[in-house]
Amino acid sequence: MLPEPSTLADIPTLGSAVSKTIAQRYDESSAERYGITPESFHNIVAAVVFRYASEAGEQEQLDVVATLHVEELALARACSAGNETAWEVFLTRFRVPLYESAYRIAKDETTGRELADGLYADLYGMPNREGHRISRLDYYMGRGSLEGWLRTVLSQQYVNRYRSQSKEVSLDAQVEAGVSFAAPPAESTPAADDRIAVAVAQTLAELRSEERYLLASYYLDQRTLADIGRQLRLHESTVSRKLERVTREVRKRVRKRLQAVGFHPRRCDELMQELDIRDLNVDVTATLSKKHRRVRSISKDEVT
Amino acid sequence: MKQSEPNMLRRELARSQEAGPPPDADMLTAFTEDALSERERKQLMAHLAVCADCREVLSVTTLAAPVPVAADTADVLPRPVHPPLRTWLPWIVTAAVVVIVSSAVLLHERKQEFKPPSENNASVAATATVQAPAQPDKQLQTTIAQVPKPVHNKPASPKPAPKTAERR
Repeated sequence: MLPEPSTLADIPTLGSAVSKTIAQRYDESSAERYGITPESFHNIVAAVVFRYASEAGEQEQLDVVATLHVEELALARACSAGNETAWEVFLTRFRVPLYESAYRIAKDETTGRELADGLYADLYGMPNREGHRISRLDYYMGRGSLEGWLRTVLSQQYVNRYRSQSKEVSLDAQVEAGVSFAAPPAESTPAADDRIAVAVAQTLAELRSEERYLLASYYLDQRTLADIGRQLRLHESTVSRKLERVTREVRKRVRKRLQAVGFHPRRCDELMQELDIRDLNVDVTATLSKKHRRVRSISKDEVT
Repeated sequence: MKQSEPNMLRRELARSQEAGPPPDADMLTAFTEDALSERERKQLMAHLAVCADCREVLSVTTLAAPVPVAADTADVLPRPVHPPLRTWLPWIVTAAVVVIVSSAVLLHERKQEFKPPSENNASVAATATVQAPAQPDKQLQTTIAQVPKPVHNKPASPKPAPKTAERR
C-alpha cells in the first residue's frame, strides 16, 4: 500500500527567495504547455520542498528547488491529471526506456513485459472509491530523473514480486531446483564467550553508515565490488581499498577490546585469526539462511 | 568454536536495527544519480546500512541502468593514481600505427624521389641524356651520394628508357 502523496492542503508557506526561485523555474518546466498555471506549479514544487526539506534551512530548500527535474515533474502531474498532450510526450519519451528497463531487470522477456505492463497500468491510474483516478505518477517528486524513477519503481515491484513468489515455492520444488540445505545459521549457535560477541557488536556499532553499508553489501549480500561501486558511484578499486581499510580497522578494534577485557595478547591473535572477517563470504549468506528458515517453517506447517 | 566466530560477525552485521521508514523511490533514484544533499545522503546511507531490502532494490536498479553509472561519472570519480595499462593501450597502439604508417609513406616518397630520371620521367631523362651525357647534374650527384646504397649512381643512359616504357 502506497502512502498518500503530498496533497495541496499540506503546502506550507515558503520564504520569498524560495518562491522566487520556483517562479523562475516555471518557464523551463514547459508546464504552460500542459495547462499548468504558475500558481499550480508553485503549489506542486512547494509540496516537494515541504516533503523533503521542511525542517531544513532556506539554503537547502533553494538547493532542492534548483536541482528538481521540473520539466519531468510538470509532465508527470499533467499526465496524472489526464492531459492528452502530456501523455503523448510521456509515451514518446518513456515507453521504450520503461520496457527496456523491465527486460533488463527481469532478464526474461515475458516477465519483463508483465512487469512493465503492470507499472504502465499503475501509471495510468485506477479509479478509487470516489471515482477519481489515482495515478502512480502522483508519487514522482522530481528529485531524480523520471526515467530513473521508473526504473526504481520497476525494481521495487520486481523485488516484491520475487519475494512473494519465493514464499510460495514448495519444499519439493526447491529440492528439485537443486537447493541444498545447510546447517542452521549462526543465530542458533551460542557464542563461546560473551566478551567476544560484545567486542564485535560494539566495534560494528561504532562504524560509520557507509562503512557498515560496505561490509553488509560485500559480506552479507555478497555483491561484487563492481556492483557496490556502481551503487556508490565509485571505482571498484576504490571500493576494494575502502573495504580493506574497514576490515583492518574492525580487526584492530576488536583485538583492542579483547585485550581490554583481559584476553592475553597471544590468545587475542588466535581469536583474530579465527575471527577473520574474510571468512564470512565462505559461509552461507544471510539471504540463503533466511530462505532456509522460511522453507523449514513451511515444511513444518505442512507436516502439522 | 571456530565455526561460530565468523558467524558472529555476520550475525552482528545482519542483526536488524531500527532502520526507520523506508526511503521512497525518488530518494533512491536521487541517490543513484548523486542528487541528494549531504544531510539526505547520510540519512539514506544510515538506512541502507541496516536494510537489506532497500540494498537489494538499489542493486537491481543500478544493474538495470542502460549505461554503467561509473562511465557517466568518470569526471567526478577519483582517478586511479597509476592508470592501468589497458587504459593506455589503445593510445599506444594508435601512436605506433601512426608512426609506422608515416615512416612507410616518407620512405616511399624518398624512394620515388631518388629514382633515376629515367624511371621517374622517361622524357626528362631522355632530354637530360641528350643534352648533357658527359656531365650529370651536380645536385643530383650530391643527393645520390647521400643514399646508403648507391644503386642508381650510374649516369643516366638511354637504356632504362625502354624499360620504363615496358612497365607502362
